[in-house]
Amino acid sequence: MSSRRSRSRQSGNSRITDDQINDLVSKLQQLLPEIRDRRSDKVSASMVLQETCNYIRSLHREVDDLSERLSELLATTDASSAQAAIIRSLLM
Amino acid sequence: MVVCLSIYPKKSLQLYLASMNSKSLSSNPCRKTSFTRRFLRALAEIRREEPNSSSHVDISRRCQRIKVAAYASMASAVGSKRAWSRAMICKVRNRAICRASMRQKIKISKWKKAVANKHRRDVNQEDELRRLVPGGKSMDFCKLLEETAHYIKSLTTQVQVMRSIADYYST
Repeated sequence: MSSRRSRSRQSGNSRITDDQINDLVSKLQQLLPEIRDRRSDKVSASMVLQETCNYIRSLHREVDDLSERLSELLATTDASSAQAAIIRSLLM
Repeated sequence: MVVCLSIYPKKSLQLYLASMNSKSLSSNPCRKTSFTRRFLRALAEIRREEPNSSSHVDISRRCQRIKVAAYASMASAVGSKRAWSRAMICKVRNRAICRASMRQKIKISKWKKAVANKHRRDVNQEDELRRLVPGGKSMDFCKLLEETAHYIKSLTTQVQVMRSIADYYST
C-alpha cells in the first residue's frame, strides 16, 4: 500500500490517479512475452518498465536484422507480381 | 474460400482484403494490410533506384533505406491519430530534407550528450522509455504508457510482416 503512495509522488501530477497508472501498466504487461503470464501483483511497475525497454530494443534489433536480410534478397528477386500473393499469405 | 485474386481490379482487392478477418488477436488487419502495401511499394522503388550489386557499401545503403522505409510505412499506416506516429513521420521527413552538414552537426551534439550521460548511474527507466518511443520526450507519463502500448503492437506487426516477406523471398 505504501508503494502506491510513493508512486504517485514520483509521477508528480496529482490528477493522474494510481488506478489509471496501474491499469496502463498491466495493459503493457500483457504485451510483453517475458512477463505476461506472471500475476500482476508479483510484477512491479518498474519491472514492467524495464521489460518494456528491453522488448522495444529487441524489436528494433529484429527490424535491423530483417532489413539487412531483405537488402540482400532484394537484389535477387522479381517483386512486381508478388504483391497480391504476399498479402494473401500474410493474412491467411 | 478460394478466390482468384489476380482477376480482381485493384480497388476490389482492397475491399476484399479489408473485409477479411485477421487471425491475430492484437493486430488490426487494415493497418497490417496498409503497412504491407506501402512497404512493398517502397521496396520496389528501392530495387529500381539502387544498383543491383552485392558490394558491402551498396548492401548497407540499401539496408538503411529499407529500414527507414519500414518505419515510415508503419507510421503512415497508423496515420496521424497517434503521437508516436506523428513524431515518426516528422522525423522521416526532416531526415529527407536535412542536409549532410546539418546531419553531421546533430550527430556530434548527440555524441557529446551520450558521453556526458555515460557516467550517470542508475538510468531512470522512464527516461529510457521516453528515448525509445518516438515523441516520448514531450508526453506526460500516462500518455507515454498508452503510446508505448500502441507502439509495441505496431512494431510487432511490422516485424511479423517483414519476416513473412523475407521468408517469401527466400524460397
